[in-house]
Amino acid sequence: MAFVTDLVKTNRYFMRAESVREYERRGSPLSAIFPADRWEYLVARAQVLGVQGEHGIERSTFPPSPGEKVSVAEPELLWRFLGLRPSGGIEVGKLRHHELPVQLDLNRLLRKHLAVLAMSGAGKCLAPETAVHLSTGELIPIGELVDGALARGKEVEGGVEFTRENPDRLSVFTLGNGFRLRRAAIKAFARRNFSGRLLKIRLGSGSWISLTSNHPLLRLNGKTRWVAAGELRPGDEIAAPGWTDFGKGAAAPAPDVDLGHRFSRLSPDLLADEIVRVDPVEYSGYVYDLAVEASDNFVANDLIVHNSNFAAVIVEEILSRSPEQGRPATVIMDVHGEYTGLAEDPGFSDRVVVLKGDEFRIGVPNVSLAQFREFLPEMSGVQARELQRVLETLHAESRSGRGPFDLDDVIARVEGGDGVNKQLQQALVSWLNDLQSLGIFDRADNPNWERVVLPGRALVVDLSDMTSLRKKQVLVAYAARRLFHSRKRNRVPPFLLCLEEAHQFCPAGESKEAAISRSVLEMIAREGRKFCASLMLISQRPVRLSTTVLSQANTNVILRITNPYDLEHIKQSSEAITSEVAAMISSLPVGEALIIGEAVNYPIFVKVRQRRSRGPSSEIDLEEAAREFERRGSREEDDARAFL
Amino acid sequence: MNSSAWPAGFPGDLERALDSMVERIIDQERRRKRIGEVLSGLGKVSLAGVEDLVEKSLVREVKRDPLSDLKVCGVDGGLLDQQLHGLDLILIRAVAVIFHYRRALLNGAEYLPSEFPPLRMVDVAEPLDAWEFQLLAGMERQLAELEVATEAAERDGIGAILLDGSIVPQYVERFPRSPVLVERYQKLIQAYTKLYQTCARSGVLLCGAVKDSRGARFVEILKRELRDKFGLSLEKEDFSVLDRSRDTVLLNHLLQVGQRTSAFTYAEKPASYVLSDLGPWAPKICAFYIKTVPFDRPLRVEFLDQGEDTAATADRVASLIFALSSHHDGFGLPSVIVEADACVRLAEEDLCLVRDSISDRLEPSLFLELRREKKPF
Repeated sequence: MAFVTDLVKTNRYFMRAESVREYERRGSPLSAIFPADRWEYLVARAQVLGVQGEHGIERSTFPPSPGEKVSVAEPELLWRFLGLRPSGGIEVGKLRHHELPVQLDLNRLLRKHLAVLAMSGAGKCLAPETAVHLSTGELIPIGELVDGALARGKEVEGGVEFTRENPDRLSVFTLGNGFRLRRAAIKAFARRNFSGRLLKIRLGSGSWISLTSNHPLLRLNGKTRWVAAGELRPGDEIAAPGWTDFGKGAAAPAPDVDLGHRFSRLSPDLLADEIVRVDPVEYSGYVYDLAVEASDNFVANDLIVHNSNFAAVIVEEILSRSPEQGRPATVIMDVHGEYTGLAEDPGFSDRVVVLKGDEFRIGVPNVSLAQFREFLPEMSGVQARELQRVLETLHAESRSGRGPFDLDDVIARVEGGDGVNKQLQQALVSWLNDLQSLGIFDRADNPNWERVVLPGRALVVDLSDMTSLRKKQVLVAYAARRLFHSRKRNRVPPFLLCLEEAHQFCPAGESKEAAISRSVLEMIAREGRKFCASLMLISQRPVRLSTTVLSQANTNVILRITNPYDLEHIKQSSEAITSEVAAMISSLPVGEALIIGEAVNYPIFVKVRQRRSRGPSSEIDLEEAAREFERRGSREEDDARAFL
Repeated sequence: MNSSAWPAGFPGDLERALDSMVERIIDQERRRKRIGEVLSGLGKVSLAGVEDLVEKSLVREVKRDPLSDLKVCGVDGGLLDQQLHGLDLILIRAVAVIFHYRRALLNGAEYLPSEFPPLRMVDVAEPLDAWEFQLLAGMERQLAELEVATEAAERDGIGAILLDGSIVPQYVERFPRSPVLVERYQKLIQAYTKLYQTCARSGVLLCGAVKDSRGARFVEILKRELRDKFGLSLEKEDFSVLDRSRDTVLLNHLLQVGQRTSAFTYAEKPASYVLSDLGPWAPKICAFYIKTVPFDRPLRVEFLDQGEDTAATADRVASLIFALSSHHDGFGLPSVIVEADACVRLAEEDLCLVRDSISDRLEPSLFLELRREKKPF
């Protein structure tokens, strides 16, 4: 078994450029003079993976003989060799270059956790003249920006020159929730040599951008989604910032524009700009890339550039399993509201419960002292003992018929206590009040975990409206611990906890105060496999993800990552990622993923299938968005008139 | 011939020798150019009666063949040989490439015996000396080429066959001491005769494009005729440079693109030593030089005169060669021969493969390599 790593086409008639030019000087192609087509050969370079021996695939110890015949691997052989299942597995797509469905063994995929790592926030493969909007309001060609940064020093890896130094603290604009723009610091500057065809996309507003054909842009017509530039056609509309002097912080709207014109307003910050032409342009030279903090896009040449993700497919597959196949429960911490569509899809709605973040409640009687210490890492030993005493009292009263208690009860008892120093007492009360202000503590849990975490069912916790990271971390910390303990007592079935933007919940290098949910997630990562409690970590910033958690994820699904900073981090956490594999990751096209680790016997490249359920709720219809915007505008005007 | 000698370690002398050689070349080129200019002036002078020239004018314009609905065959052979201890090896292969033209464009290609012609191995155990071995190897290659050329000539619809090189066996000696060579030579003559007969019978033009001709017969004719019959006013030194000129070197100063020389008979006397074994075909072998592209030297073309009108045959051959050879400004060889050459080209590795396969089957003590191949350092 060998893996084709490279394909080369060769033709003896085209070995000398000057001869070709000379023969074709009179206008006839070479094929009109010589039978050149006949001498074209496709040559494959292959890396030997193993040999089919008596006891299955064995490591090869010497190379095959020159001249030995080769053939395309049969599906049965591929299944066996790659460790795939012919049926009954988690079907994530098709093996690249084979029409072979990739069905992963559920046990191997999830038992030892799964990390889905997508491209970090970098606009990749942009031509040097592409103008980048710095948050100072300055417009600067990306080539100039990156070259300037690299001139101060650079590292080189896999053909990519990069630096993580940003002494001037430059930042750019990125697209956040609700189509609003915000500032984000540049984390890395990178460039690499490119020779081939770029696409020059010209827009109705007069803007343009040159980029590689697989670079995604936010398409607005139909359902709003990120699509590869190569798929865009004249008439499509893509997102562009709608500022006049946004860069100065004024966020002033652009002059109103005619909807019938080639661009129209989508949000206060965004315009929809129509593509008028797409031209291929031959290019040879550097292409440029920026990695942007905590984001996955940035504004270049007045367009928004971005990447896509993968995990919904796995959730759908788990939901589609029959009881005979074994069905874990799924709990999704949905930061962007990307999974709520599951509940609206007729194919899945009966198995999916969506809980809005503001409906989530933590039942205070279920919160242990250890968890309080997680939520309040500043708590001292004395304060913890005092809180323990209060909790024990309240639990005792509760058992004697007083009923469940809430955080106000806890605060009142702490305030009324006289066993501790007043200063320490006041501090504890203050912290508890701070917790109470999050608005998520109550007398009982919502949801009732044992009732909603069921085999073959999914609970989607929609955190898209929640802005406080601390609040989200508290929720995730509680939910994760609650699930894990319930699982240990066998009160809930084996489960998969999916964490979107996992780096927010188990960040690397942050203090305990800023990483409330990290320790419980690290615990599940370490011990979960014994109890069939699995994690699916989804992150577009692997570099910010705790290495402890990442290294426990024995299967990695990696989508395109070009940022050398992130690539290096992934390489450190997985021995299976060699330099060759890392180079392949950086050239993955949109919609393809590398699966590596426990779930497969050998790293495989997969064309990921389309998700069957509806996409994120933010995939709004452009016309509807425009109508809603105008409706809101008129309401505000009416209100103003009424007020006057 | 000029020779320069210098003691080792005296680069100054080498420098002077190089300067002297370059000066001589420049001087000779200048004189050849002058001769070329004078000869150009003879364009309209009738050369009727000039022995050995087929046509009346020295230089003739060539009309490019339109290459419409035509099949042209190019034949070439590849050869590798190696002398071993007690055994000599020859590897050969030959191919006939047939280009199908329609409306001046290549419309298809056929290959005889195939586009990957099989290798033929000849092992020679007879104690030939090195020169005889080289002759034998050349004959084997020619035999292979003639075989595929004859097979192509027997096919329907072939308009012309172009050999890579001469269309006659160019052996001056008759190898009195080597029965092996005599036997192969006889076979070669038979093969040539068979090819001539086949082409004549089926009306196929037979010609040969000689890549780097060393012929000087045309210059000989000019030397003889120019002074005697036209009394051209050339300095004695200019004439003397002709003694040091091959045909293509001189004609490079005379012919323009699309021009050819008058055709001339291959040898002064048909029964001369080279052609003596070709019998009635000897007087039918003619040649001319043609300039097909601006930055390449004139090409020597030999052809078999099959009809009454030799000049018409020469025109037809020239027209075809011009059309096939004028694609590349710096390389004026027919495209069909370029393709044939590429198909039969052999790499040194092919020979190593055969030699090693033989070695593998022998006792380790039976070394095949010559001592010169086994130098320890």
